[in-house]
Amino acid sequence: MYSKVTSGAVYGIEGRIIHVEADISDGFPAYSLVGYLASEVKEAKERVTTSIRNSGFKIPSKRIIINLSPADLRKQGTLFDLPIAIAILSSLGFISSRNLQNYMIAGELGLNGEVAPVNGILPIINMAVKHGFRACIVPSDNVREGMLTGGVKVIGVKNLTEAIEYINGKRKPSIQLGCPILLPRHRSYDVGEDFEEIYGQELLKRSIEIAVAGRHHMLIIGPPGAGKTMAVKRMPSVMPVLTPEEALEVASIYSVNGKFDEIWEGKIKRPYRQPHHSLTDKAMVGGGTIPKPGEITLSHNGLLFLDELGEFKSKALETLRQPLEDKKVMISRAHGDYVFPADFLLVAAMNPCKCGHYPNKAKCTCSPGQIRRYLSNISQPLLDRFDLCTEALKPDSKKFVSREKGRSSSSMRSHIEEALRRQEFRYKHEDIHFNSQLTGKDIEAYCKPDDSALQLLNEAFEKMNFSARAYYKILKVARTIADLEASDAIIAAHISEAICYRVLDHKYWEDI
Amino acid sequence: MSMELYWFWLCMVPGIGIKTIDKLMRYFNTPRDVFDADRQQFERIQDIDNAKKLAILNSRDRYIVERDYHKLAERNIHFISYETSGFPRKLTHLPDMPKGIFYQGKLPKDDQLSIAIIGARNCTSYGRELAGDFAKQLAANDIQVISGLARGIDISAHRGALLGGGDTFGVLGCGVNVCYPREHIEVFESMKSAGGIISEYGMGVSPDAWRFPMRNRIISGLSDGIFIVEAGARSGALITAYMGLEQGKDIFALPGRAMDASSEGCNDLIKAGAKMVTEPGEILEEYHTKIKKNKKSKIRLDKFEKLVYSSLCLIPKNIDEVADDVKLDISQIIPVLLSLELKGYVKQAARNHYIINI
Repeated sequence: MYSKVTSGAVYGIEGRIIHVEADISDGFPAYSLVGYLASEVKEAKERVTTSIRNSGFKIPSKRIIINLSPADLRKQGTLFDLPIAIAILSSLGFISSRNLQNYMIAGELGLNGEVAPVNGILPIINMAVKHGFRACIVPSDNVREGMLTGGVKVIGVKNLTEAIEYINGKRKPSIQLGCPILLPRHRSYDVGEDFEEIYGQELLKRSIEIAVAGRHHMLIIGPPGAGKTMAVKRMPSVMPVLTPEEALEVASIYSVNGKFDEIWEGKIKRPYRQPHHSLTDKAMVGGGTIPKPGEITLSHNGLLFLDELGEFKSKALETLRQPLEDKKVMISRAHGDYVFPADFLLVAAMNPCKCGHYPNKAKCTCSPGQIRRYLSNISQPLLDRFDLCTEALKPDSKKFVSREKGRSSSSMRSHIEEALRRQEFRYKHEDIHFNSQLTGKDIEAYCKPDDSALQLLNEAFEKMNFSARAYYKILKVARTIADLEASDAIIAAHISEAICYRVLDHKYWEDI
Repeated sequence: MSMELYWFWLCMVPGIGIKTIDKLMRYFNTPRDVFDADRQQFERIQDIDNAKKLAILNSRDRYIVERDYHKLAERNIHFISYETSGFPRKLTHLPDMPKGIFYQGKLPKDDQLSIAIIGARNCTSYGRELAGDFAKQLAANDIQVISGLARGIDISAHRGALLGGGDTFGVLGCGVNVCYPREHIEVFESMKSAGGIISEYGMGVSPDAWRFPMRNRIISGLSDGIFIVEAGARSGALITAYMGLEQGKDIFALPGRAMDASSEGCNDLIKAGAKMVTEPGEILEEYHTKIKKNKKSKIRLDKFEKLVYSSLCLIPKNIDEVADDVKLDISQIIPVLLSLELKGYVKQAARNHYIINI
């Protein structure tokens, strides 16, 4: 007898419908599984029969053929176990095939019939909603992430028997929830580690404020122990909580990577990724036969922190260049292209030289050549993508001992809130949201300094010999500074502050 | 072939240095005799090893020598032997005088005062700024500034001298057409028209470490006085100073602070009797010349600018530190520093690290 179960699979971060067909007929006893399967899917054969048997059903010695269609798409993952088992049982008449039409089913089976969680549930459920399914049967451990979509009943099952009984209408599911989790509609902030725990470092805190307010990529240079990492760890505390749309995107990405629990804290946290510097280029942008998102996509709508930038493989760093411009990354494979979103705030920290103490000559033990080589690991095109560059100093011992508190996260938040509001208003008819996204003629239009400010900028441009690219970055940063100060006009003080954070170039080390 | 060409040939034989040439001159009168000598004459020489003899014998090819000599001329590189007029007379006093030197641009004039300004490669901004300032003022007073085109003090001295509008000469420890380190190419090129590049090594010789102490004797030899700006206890600049002392040159040193490792060598020199100088005039008074006073424009600064300026020195200070010192907010400091910088009173030694501009 023939039966068909609908399941899904993830390609990139998009879900696709996969039909699982089973046919059991008389003839020479056989059992085969077809449909362009990866080895973990082929192994489902053994898992499924054993778990069916251990759930108390008997499989007769007949000719069993299972097909996963469309048959030209490669199938990966363990989520087909449950639909295959259901299809077989339906063919054997244990489940009425009429009941099956309304369900989308996914889950991994254990030998004892238990249903284990799988990756990528959220995009699959999204897809099920789009195709008009009314209910999804998923492993009970995946229910929480499945519910985020809304518009569909998500039924969590603990084992095969439960699933069968539920489909046959003999049992209420152990968990049944159908409404999306309410995500905050107004802007709110997480309260975590606070900036006031950092003594001194006012310049660094100020530039973090600017970076967050205008979404400017930031590079921090400073000696070891200056508190660079400590400061960046606190950045999420001044970033607003994700909007529902952002949260759903983030949740899908983490669902695909099986990292949903990392991002879930009663709501979706803003991603904060701090990969180790041994990272490869594939891990940075995403890779695999069917590509999985890399670090830049995991940081989508959040923060990617590259600590010890100078130690990263240059190949991994250079892959960042295009996604930083396009806010997405396309990975091409023979069987198709995968586009992953990658709109993140890049923050990097590095030492100024190998020993970390330049320009403090009393402490720096590096030779001029060593200092020069240290920065040359990072290409100028990559440096150019940072809008802000700032120095962190060794903490002032006096301030440290006296525990003199500096600016707190809440005071920074109120400034940032102001800047975000102004940008929202200014760009409501544009398809951008932040000052850092301004390009070309928009910069001229939105970042008009007043006369004295323009004069100062032009004078500095001539005397300090920075590039045209740096000139425009200064304007964009000055716009954000003005927004933070709740000023419509860009005045000279804003320009001079922006100049002090100007983009780093190799001239930093010129005088050696 | 002229005698100059024979000298050129002998100076270019690979593996043959001053010592071997001196030994050869004990057996032969002129390099032409070496060129024309037969094998038997060479075999009689005891104190030159066979590899060197072979190198000399194998390089005796008139065509190649003439071709190489023309190549030099094509590239505006000159060769001058000590027998030709125009060879710097000061060098002839050296016991291990180079028999010929290569140069681009000019050679230092014998009748004009030359001061070598030297120091460590790994210098502080204190040394860098003062080397530049001394060189600039000396050059403006028609003193020829000599140094070694190395990183740090050397290049600052050359840059300063170029700014002062005088002649400055760089003595290389590599081939005369080799710019090492490469990032000094701008200074290297401009020195060809405002002074010269000098080396005892011909085209393309690579910058090997052992050649550098050798070139130091030429730096000290070419100069009347040697000014050591900044040198650690074991700096190469001290080698030049001691060579200069042996050659009877005046030694000047810029004092550093006690316990400051980067000035230890200078302070030791002062203890040993070098003249301590803190301004260029003090070098010149040794040669009975006076420095031309250049009119310093009056500094006009407002209250904040004065406050900030007075907190700066030649040791780089970050904006945060300046703000702490003058007890002002960073947002107040930044515009003041920028305006001081645009007016030319301060400059950035490294990004956002300010020093005064002298």
